[in-house]
Amino acid sequence: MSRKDVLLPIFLGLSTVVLLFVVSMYKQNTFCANSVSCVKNLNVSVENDSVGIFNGREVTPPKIDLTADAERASKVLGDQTATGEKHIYVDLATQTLYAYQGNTLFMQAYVSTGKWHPTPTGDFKIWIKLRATRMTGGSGADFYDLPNVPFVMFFGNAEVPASMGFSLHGAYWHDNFGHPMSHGCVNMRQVDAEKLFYWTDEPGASGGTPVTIYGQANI
Amino acid sequence: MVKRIFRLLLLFFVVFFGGIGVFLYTQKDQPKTTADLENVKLPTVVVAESPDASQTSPDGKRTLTMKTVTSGDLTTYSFTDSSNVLFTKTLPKDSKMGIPINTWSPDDKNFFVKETNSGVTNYYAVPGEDNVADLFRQKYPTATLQEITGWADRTLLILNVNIDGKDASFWYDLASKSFIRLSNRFN
Repeated sequence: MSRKDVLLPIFLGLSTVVLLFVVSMYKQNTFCANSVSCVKNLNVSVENDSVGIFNGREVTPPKIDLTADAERASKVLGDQTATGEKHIYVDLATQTLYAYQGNTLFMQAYVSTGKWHPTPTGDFKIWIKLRATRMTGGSGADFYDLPNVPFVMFFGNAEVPASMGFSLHGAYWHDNFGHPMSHGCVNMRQVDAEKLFYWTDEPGASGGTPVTIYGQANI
Repeated sequence: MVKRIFRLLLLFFVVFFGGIGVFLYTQKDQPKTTADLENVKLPTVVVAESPDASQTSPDGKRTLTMKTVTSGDLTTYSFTDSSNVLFTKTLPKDSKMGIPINTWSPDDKNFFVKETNSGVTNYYAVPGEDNVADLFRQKYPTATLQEITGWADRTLLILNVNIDGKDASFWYDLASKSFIRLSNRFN
């Protein structure tokens, strides 16, 4: 075989691999947990007269009264005497969330993490909290459009940036906590998400409450 | 000529699949385990939940409570919300009933409870009092119901089963009283 005979297939093979790699990187960098809504609107969005869509069926979102929130916050948190840094842990293997302040366990709750796309693992920080927002994504039979998603806490880090739109939030459309159900976000029971939302710090310039996600979900 | 083309193709595929192998390895998801998180204090205290006696709905608006009264060889289980009795069942004393963690449907209108009686597990969906486990066994006599885990929406219960030697999931639709096999298993 001549040199051309050897170099040509090597070049073609490597070019194909590089092309696949570039396409994969592009797909990863443009991925968003909620493929349509993503993080386009970071204003609090309350749509009490809207109807959602999930699993091809209509879903009625919870009514939200923002004026009642200030009073709710103190009721939900109760007496707070713990000291130390706040930190959230999510164990994907057991689908359990733990919220600690120092060495004191503030709450423990079952969650539903990524079924259709893995929830990322690592050390993150909450970068914004929204009392409610609309989440839209998927396509075909998997399409969902959910107004009034409550108690949303977006998190990210250098590897999983804010633009990828992963969050902890309440979920009113299913009740299967303890089992992966989401498109990557950490779904919580509404009462648990509410408690966590009022407990977490308001994000500052260097980010908010840290979130550590670890383990491997059984999906 | 044929030999030459064959060699060229062989070389192309060796490079291509070798590159794919390297590519896939670099893309492999390597989730952090507790061993990786050296500087992070992970929770060591796990507070066990006792879901059997009562369970609040996900929005906090309703609480289902189970009360038991034993008389002789029988135990009566009553499931109440506030003072309203929503479901009762009387069973032999050595049976057991409980409230699963995901008992309430997302709209708080339905719930399901679990019974273990003589080694057989049943699940009752309320209202309607369908014995979903028994209905499933009748419909799919060779399958094994492993667990009903919760609700996919306001009327769809999620059943994890083993059918034809494979783990699978079904929905049971309370509205149509029908089973729908899913293309994915919900672990």
